[in-house]
Amino acid sequence: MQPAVRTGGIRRRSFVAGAMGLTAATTSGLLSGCGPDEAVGASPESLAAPPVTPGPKTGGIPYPDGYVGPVARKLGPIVTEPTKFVVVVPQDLTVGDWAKNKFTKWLEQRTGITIEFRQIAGADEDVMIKVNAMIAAGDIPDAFMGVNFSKSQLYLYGAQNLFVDQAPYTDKYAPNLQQMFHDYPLAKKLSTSPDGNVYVYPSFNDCYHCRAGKSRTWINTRWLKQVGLAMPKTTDEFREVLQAFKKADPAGRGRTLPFVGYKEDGSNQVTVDKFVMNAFLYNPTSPWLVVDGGKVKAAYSQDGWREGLKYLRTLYAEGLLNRDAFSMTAEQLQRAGNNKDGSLLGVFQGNYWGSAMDVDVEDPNARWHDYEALAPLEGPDGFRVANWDHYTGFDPRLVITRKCRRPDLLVKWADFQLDLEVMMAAYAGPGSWSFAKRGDKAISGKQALFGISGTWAPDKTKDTWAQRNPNYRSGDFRLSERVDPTKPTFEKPLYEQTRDRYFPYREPIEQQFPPVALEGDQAALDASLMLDLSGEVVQTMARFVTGKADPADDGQWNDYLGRLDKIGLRPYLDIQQAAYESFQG
Amino acid sequence: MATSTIERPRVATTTASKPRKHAQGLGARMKKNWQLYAMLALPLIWLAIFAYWPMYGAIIAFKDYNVIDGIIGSRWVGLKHFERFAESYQFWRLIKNTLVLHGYELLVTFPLPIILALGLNLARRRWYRRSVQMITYAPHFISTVVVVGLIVVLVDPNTGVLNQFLGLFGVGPVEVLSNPDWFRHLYVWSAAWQTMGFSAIIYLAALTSVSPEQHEAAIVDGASRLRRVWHVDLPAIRPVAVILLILNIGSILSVGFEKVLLLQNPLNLQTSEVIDTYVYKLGFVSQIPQFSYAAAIGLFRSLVGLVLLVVANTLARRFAKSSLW
Amino acid sequence: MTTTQAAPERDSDDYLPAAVKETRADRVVLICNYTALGLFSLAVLYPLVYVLSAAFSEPKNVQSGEVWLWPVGLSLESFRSIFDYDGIVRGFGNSVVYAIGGALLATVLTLLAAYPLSRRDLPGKGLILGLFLFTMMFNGGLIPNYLVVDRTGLLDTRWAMILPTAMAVWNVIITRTYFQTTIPEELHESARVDGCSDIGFFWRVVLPLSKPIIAVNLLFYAVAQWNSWFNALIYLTSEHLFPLQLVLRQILVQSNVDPSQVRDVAELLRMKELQEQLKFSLIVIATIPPLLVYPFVQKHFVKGAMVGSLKG
Repeated sequence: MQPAVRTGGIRRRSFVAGAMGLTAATTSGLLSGCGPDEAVGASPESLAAPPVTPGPKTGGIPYPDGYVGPVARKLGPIVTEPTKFVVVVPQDLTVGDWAKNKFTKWLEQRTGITIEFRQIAGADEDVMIKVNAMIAAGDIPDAFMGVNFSKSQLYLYGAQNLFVDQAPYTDKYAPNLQQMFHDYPLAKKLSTSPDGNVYVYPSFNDCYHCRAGKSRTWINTRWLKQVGLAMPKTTDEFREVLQAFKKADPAGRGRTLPFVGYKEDGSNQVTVDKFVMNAFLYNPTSPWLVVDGGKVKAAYSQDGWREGLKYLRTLYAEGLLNRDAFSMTAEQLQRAGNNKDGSLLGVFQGNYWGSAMDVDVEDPNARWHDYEALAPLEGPDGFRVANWDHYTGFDPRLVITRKCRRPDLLVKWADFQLDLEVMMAAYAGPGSWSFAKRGDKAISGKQALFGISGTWAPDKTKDTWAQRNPNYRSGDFRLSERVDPTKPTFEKPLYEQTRDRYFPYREPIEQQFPPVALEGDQAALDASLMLDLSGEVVQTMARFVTGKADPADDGQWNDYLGRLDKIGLRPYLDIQQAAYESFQG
Repeated sequence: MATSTIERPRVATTTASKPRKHAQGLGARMKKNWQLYAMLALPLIWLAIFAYWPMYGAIIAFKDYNVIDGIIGSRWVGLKHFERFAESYQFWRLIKNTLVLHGYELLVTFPLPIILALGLNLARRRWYRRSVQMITYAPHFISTVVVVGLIVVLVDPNTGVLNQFLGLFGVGPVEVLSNPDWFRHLYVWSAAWQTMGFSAIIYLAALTSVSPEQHEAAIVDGASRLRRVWHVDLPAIRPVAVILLILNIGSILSVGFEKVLLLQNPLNLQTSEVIDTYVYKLGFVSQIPQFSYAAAIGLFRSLVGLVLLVVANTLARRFAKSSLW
Repeated sequence: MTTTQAAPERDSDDYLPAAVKETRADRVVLICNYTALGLFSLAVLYPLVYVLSAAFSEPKNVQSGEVWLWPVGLSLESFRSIFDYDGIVRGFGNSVVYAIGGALLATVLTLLAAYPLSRRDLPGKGLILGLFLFTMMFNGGLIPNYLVVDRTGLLDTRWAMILPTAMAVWNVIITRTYFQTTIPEELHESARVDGCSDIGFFWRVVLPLSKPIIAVNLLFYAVAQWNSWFNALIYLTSEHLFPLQLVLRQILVQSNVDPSQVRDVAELLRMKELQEQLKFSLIVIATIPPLLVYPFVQKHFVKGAMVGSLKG
C-alpha cells in the first residue's frame, strides 16, 4: 500500500463526492461505515458535520459536592440511517458472545450504530498475535476495541498510516473526552504519541487503591494482638514481630509462615523485594527503573538494593521468610491462606486480600477481615517510601484504522459511552444499577452517586462489556459508589487503608519512570536486554537472599555488577533515557 | 503360507532395495505405477498449499519484518538476527539447557512406552490389560497447568508426600522446586508419567503384526517368556521405534515452553531457561512483536534439527538396519 | 485371497498349547509384570482421582487444599455452572465436529500418502519422501500461514480448523513404516500376478490388514484436534465456531491476569471465583469423549490380526 496510490484514491473519491455535491452524505440507507477494500482513508464528509455540543444535564442526580467526573446528559441517536462498523474485540467470558450481549443491543438501539464484532479469544498476548496476523494479511477492521496495543505499537502503526490520528475528530465530536482530558491532563499526555498525534480513544480509570497495589502488603492483626505487639513501623520492629509470630506459632505444628514470599504466575517475578526494599531505596518493581534528577537508573545496581538484600538474607536465615520464598506458587499461597484450621500467613504482599485467600463479603467474620495493610517500614537510615503508580489508569480502548470511512461516527459512538448512564449500563449491565438516594453513603464517606444491585453471578454477567470499551472512571466517580451497610464490600477498607497508610509516603512523580514509546530497533534491543537483565536480577536476588551467595561480600557484589554490565545495563539505560526525554518533550 | 508369516517381513531399507535391478526404463516404471502417483496427488496438493506455499515467509528471518510493509516489502538485513541471537548473553546457556533437557527426556520417554507396550502385551488377563491401558492413557488429557499444580503439591517442602516419605528415612526436607538439578528430573519424569500410556499406543498397534504362529514356533523351540519378548515381540516394534527415535532427535531443540515456564523460578532458571521459553518471554516483554528475530531463532533450530536428523538416520541405517530413507 | 477378520480376542490369549507346562521362571516374569503394571497404574490413577474429586467438591474446599483424594463437601455446583455458559456447551459440540471431521480427512490423506511411499518400487520415492520430511523441519511461520488461510478463503470457517492441519507428516511416516513391516512384498507380487491393480490391492488387501494403524491414526488425529486451540485462536473470530479447548483456555488465562494490570479488584475476584468453580469440571468434561473413544481403538489391538489373511 503505497502512500501515493492512497492519496490518489482519496483525491479521486473527493472529486466524485464534490461532483455529486452532498448527495452521498444525505442519501439514505446505503451509508456504510466500512467501505470496500480499496476504500482507504476517511471520507471527506467525516469532518463536514458541525461540532457536537453536549446536551443538557439530566436533573435529579445526587452528584456529591465538588464532583469531577462523568455526568449524565440527554442523548440522541448518532445516526438516523442504519450504519455498520466492523470492530475487533477480545473475547471475554463475562461478555459472552459480543453479538448477543444485552448491552450490545441496548447501545445499538440508542445510537443507531450497528457493530459487527470479530472476536479474538485468549490472553492479551494471544490477542496481539492474532491482531498482528490480521494486519499483515490486510484483513483490517474499522477499529480495534479493548485490544491492548503498547504505546510503541500505537506509535509505529500510527506513523505508518495504519491507525488514524483521532485528534481532529475528538476535538470536534467528543466533548466528553475533552472534559476528561481537562480533568486529567495526564490522560491526554499518555494518549499522545511522540509525533504529537493521538492514535487512540483512551479510557481513563483513576483507581486510587490501584496506585499502591504494587507493594501493598498485609499483616495478620489477629496474630499481632495474640503476641501483644503493635503494627511494626521500622525494619527492626518488623523483625521483632516476625520473630514473635514464629515463636508463638499461631498456625500450630510449626506451620506458621511469618513472612511469605512467592512467585507470580506466568513469570519469574517474585514478591520478596517489593515491600521490604522500600525501607532502603525506592523500589519501583520490575523493570526497576528510577528517575533520579532527570537521569534514568536501575534500582538493582544501587547500594540501597544491596542493603535491602542483606536485610532479607537475615530474615531468611532466621527462618522468618519461608524457605520456598522464590518458588512458592500463587496456588500454594491460596492454599496457605485458606487453610482449614486457620490461615498460615503472617505477612504477605498482594494487591488485595484475594491474592492470598477467598474473599467472602457476606460473612462479617470472614478471615480476610483479620488482615490490614501494613505501611512502608522505616529503614536504618530513616528512609521509607511507598510505591505510588502515578501513571496508572490509561488504556488504549478504541483504535480506528485507515479502513474506516467515517471515523467521526466511531468517535461519536465512543464519546456516547462516556456518558454516566451509558457507562454504568456497560459496566454493570442495563438495569443492574441505579442512582443512589439522597443520604446514601459512598466509599468516600460522602454522598453516594450510584449503586450496583446485581452480584456477579455467572448467569447475570452477559449484559456488561466488562470495561473493554471506552470508559471515564474518575476518582470521584469510583469513590461515590454506594456502600451497602448490610453487605460491605472490600472497596471501602481498601480505599481507606490505602489513603491512610500508603498515600502519605508515596514516591514523587518525578522519580517514576513513565510509560514510554520506543521505535522499532530500540524496542527490539530493549526487549532482549530487559529479559536478560531481569533474569540476572531475580536469580542473583534469590541466591543472595537464600544464602547461596553473600551480598556483604564485596567480590560477589562486584561480580554481580560486572554481569549486569556484560549483559548491557549501560545501553539499556541509554535507550530508556532517550525515551524518557522524548516523553518529557 | 505359514512360513511367510513366521518369517519377519523384511524391513524396507534403502540398502535392501538397492540390489534390485530395474529391468524397465524409468518412464515405463512410472507409467506402471500411475495409480500410486494418483494416490499421492491429494496429499501432495495439500502439502503444496499448506506447507510449501507459506514457506516463503521464512525469509523474514533475513529481514526487518514489519506487518505493514509485508514479507516481500520489508527491508533485507541479511544475518543480523542470527548474529544477534548467537551473540546474546544467554545463547550458550540456552543451547546447553535445551539439549540436556530434551536429551534427558528422550532417554527416558523413548524406552518407557516400549516397555509398557511389551508389558501390556505380556499380560494375559484381558480386563487387567485393558484397564491398565485405559488408566495410563488418560493423563494425556489433563492440562499442563493442572499437572504442574499437582507436582507442586506433591513436592511441597512442608506438606508434600515426597518429603513426608523421605522424612521416614530421616532425609530432607528436599526443596525440589528451587533446585536446578531437580528441575530436570521433575520435568522429565512427570512427562514420562503423563505421556507413557499414550505413546505406547503406537507400539501396541505395531505388536498386532506378531502372529501367534511365531510364538508357537518359538515355544516349540523351548524359548522362555522373556526370550520370546526379546526375539519375537521386540523385533516387531523395532522399525517403528527406530523411526520415532530419529524423528525425536530431529526436533531436539524444541521443548515446548508451557510446562517449563510453569515449573520455572529464579532459583532453577540456570537450568530451566530453554530456547522456547526465551522466545516466548521475549515476545511477552517486547513492545513491538519481534517476528524476524523469532523466525531467525526458529530457522536456526530447524537447521540444527536437520543436521541431527541426517546424522541419526545415517547411524540408524548402519547400526539398526532400518532408517527413515 | 480373502480379506481378514479380526480374530476374536481371547481372555487368556497366550500362545501356550495346553500340553506345555509353564516354567517357574515364566511365572516369575508374569507376576513381576503384573505387579509393575499395577503399580504404575496406581501412580497414574492418583491425579485422575484427584481431578475427579476436585470437580465434585465444593470449590472452596479445593482452594483450601482439603481435597487431596476424595471429594470434600460433595457438590455438583461446578457442573451446573457449566450450563450458564453457552460458549462451553457450543464449544463442546464444535470440538466434536472438528475432531471427527478432522480425523476422517486426515486419516484418508495419511493413508493415501503412506502407502505409495511404503512401496519400494516407486520411482521418485526418495524425492517425494524428502518433500514430506522437509516440511517437518521447516515451516513458514505464523503470518504466512495466516495469509494462506486468508487467501484460500477459509478464514473464520469450520474448514480453517480442519484443512490446515489435515495431515501430519509424522503420522505418514509411522503409517508408512507400519505398511513396510506388515505388508510383505510377496503379497503384493502375488496380487499383481492375479491381475490386481495397485488401488485394488490397497483397497482390498492393505486397508483390511491395517485396522490397527487406521485406528491409531483416527485416534491421534482426533485427539490432536480435540486438544488444539491455537488454530482456533488465530483463524476464528466468530464465537459460535470456537472449540471447547479455546473456551477452557479462556477461563484459565482470563483469571490469571497480572493483578497490577487489572483495573478493578472486583473484576479480579469475579474471575477468580469463576476459575475455581469451572476449572476441574471442565477438565472432566473435556476428558470424557477421548476416554469413551479409546475402547473402540483398543479393540483393534489384537494379536495376530493377520491370521488367515494370507490363506488362499
